[in-house]
Amino acid sequence: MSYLAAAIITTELKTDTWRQTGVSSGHITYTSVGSSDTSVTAPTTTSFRLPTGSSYYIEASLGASNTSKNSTVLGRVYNITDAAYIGQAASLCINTSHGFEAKQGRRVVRALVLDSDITGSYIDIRIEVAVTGGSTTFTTTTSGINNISGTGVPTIKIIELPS
Amino acid sequence: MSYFPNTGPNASIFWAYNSSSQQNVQIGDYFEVDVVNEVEADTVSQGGVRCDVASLVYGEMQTSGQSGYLDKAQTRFFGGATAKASGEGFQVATNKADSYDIDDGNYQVTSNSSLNLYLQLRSKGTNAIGSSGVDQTRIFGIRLNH
Repeated sequence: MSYLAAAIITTELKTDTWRQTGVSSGHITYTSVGSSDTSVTAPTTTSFRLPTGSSYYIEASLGASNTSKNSTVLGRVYNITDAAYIGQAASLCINTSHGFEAKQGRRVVRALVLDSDITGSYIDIRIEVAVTGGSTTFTTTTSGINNISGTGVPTIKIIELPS
Repeated sequence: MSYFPNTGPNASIFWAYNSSSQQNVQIGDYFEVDVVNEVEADTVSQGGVRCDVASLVYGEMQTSGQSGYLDKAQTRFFGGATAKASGEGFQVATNKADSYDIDDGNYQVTSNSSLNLYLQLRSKGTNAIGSSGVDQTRIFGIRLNH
């Protein structure tokens, strides 16, 4: 007589995450938070490479602070390879009327990239932000957004979907 | 003869929620779930879940302020400080009582190691106290092929 433990069923999804560290020329910068499980690579601190053979769901949260509480942020996913914005944008309103100096709610930009959208061997994407108003910082540490520690941090996650 | 005991979670997704309202949640406290499906409760009975394999976990909350304030409230997933994890919190402008101060979610990708995961109230203010009605604290997880 033998006993076999019940196997835990997993989905076919794979996910990697990167932590937002700041911004460079309007492009969010990221750092890895662990070993990679997807086919996605990060050629630079601001770009991600999605190889053909899979589809991908991209979701990046926006996090910023502003000590003067006076700025807006528009985030978008940019397809560097094809020079086009893709997916859904997200915005932050950081001003006095909202009474807070950080993101309000879980604002995310997102895009679904199908395998058929990748006409070459890969596409590169990045997260771009357009800021109005000064003194806005996107800096984070492992403990959170600059000046607002302890709450977790904005990240990008890319889910690899089997084709 | 072989037996395949179905004594543990074995589905590709799991979810949990609170079946009763929770009052007086203060900074550092957890918004707790007590009904768990296809996942085990945390091992120290603090209202979280026990993640067994790499998972993409979402935590959703709808809470209202209590006793005047849920001042600059934030939440985070707590307990996932592993190499693979990166939790996201959020903040809202919350200076009124009895309004829905938090109606949003967190997410975290967990590593393969078992860990207890909770939804914790944080605050940049000084008077964060919240309450969560029935089924207003929810956790949804997808087990990943890592």
